Amino acid sequence: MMKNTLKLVLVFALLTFVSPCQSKAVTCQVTPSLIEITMGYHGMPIEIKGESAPGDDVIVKVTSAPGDAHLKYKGKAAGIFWMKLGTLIFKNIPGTYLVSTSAPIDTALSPAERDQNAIGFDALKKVVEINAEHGDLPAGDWFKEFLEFKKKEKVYSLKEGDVQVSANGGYTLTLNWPFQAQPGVYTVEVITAKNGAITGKSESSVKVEMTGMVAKISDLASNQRALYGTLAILVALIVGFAVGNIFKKGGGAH
Amino acid sequence: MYMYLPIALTSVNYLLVIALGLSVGLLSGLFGVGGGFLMTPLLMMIGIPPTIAAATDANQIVAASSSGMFTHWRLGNVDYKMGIYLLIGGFMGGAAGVQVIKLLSATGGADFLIKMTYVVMLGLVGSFMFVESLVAMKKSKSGKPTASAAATKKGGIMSLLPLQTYFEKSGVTFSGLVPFGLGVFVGILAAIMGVGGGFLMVPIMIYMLRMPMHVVVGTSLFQILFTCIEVTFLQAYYNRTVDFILALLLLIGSVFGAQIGAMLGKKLHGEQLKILLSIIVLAVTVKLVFDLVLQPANLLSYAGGH
Repeated sequence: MMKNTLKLVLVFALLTFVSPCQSKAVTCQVTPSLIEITMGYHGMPIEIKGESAPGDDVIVKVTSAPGDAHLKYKGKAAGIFWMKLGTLIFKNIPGTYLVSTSAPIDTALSPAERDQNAIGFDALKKVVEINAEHGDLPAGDWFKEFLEFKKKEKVYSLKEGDVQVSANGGYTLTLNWPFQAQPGVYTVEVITAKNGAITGKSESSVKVEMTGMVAKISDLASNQRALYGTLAILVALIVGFAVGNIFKKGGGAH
Repeated sequence: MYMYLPIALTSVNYLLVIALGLSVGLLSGLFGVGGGFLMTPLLMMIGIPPTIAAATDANQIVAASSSGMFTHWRLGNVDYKMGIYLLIGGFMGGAAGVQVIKLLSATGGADFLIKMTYVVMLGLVGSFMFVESLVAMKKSKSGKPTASAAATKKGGIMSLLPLQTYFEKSGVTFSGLVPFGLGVFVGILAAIMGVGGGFLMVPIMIYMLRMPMHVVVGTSLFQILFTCIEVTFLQAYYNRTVDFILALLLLIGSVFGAQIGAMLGKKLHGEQLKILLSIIVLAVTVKLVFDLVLQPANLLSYAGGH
């Protein structure tokens, strides 16, 4: 009895450690499942792998929770000058959207499946709602602008052919996690498909969080603002005067 | 090579940031300007969000200006009396400027005012300094007294104002209302433009207050130091936009740059310094004009910045 309980605990611990998947047909494992932001952090490679049926296409989608993005838009003022004219609100859109596939997205999934699962930028466009903060939405392809903006930030990507599929089943994806992706919990969704139709799904997650000195500074700046501001000034003054003192013979009249 | 910034939420090459600090610090020590009008756009170019770039820049200017001011203070180049008049005016003008921006932000006209103020002020200051310095250099070559040297002795309308004060260090006498009023003017513009105002204050001290160039640099750094202390604290307290790690990297470069600038300044004449500063200011103006008339690569951006 005791032995069986111990075995169960061990199995549970192992499954928790590797971020278990929910589907039996498709599995997925994210390594590491916790990305720690330390002082020298500049993004890092993560590995997403698991079981899939031989011959299936594999689509991996990594997203942050959907929310609203408030961005300034530029337009022409007085007919000549390009200026920020107002704010656009992109509703129900993830801050990070990284899709990788084993085959071209158009052949891997049918349009209906892509729309239903918000796979690909065309499908994402149908989900997002764009409004102006004040007045009517100005003319322009604002979703296209939004995509370019996010791609430049490296938090939106669609990489076809990056997922390696084995002939005997199973897949592997090495994803270069962008340092621009903010701390939070990200959903890793794995979809397998054959002839454009979905054959299996699995889900896991990856957590990004600040640790050590980075976390302490962030916490101080948020929760003890007066102290943080004072310290920032004091350190700047001390460094400034100290260097001024080192260069005693420097400086002078012009 | 890389360092993560806990407030900006991005990672930067720290050698690049230190080099940026060094370059702008050099200008600070050389001309007595904070360099905010250069540093903020440069930080934005390496991926720092605009609001963080502007606030953190103020923090690093505290280090650069204190370093430069310390050197000038030891050499007796700071006119404290003048600096305090300018500072009080600057604080009051800054508060008024913030209200103007608040009002215009609500009506959607803030960006237009900021951009236009930048182009007009930088263009005017740069052109005036360039032409004046060129004329002065030509005259000094021919042995004739320069306009600024001759005007130093004149009182003009300023002599009719009350509260006449002798500013010993600068060797000038006029009403205390003059530096106060000019401080208010620069404070308003600095708040609108989101900079310390050094590039405006320096020409005003040279051409309107007729202060000697060596006292101008030390006194300008004194005024900038206190303005940026105020801005750093307020930005950290109200907006959480000061990234201490970024500021630390910048100030490592800028304090050394400020010292090198101060030493270089010793080897250059006042007119040469003015013409160099005017060329930098005009180059920034041209860049701003191009940014205004050419279609940007992307029509979306985060809030803040110039």
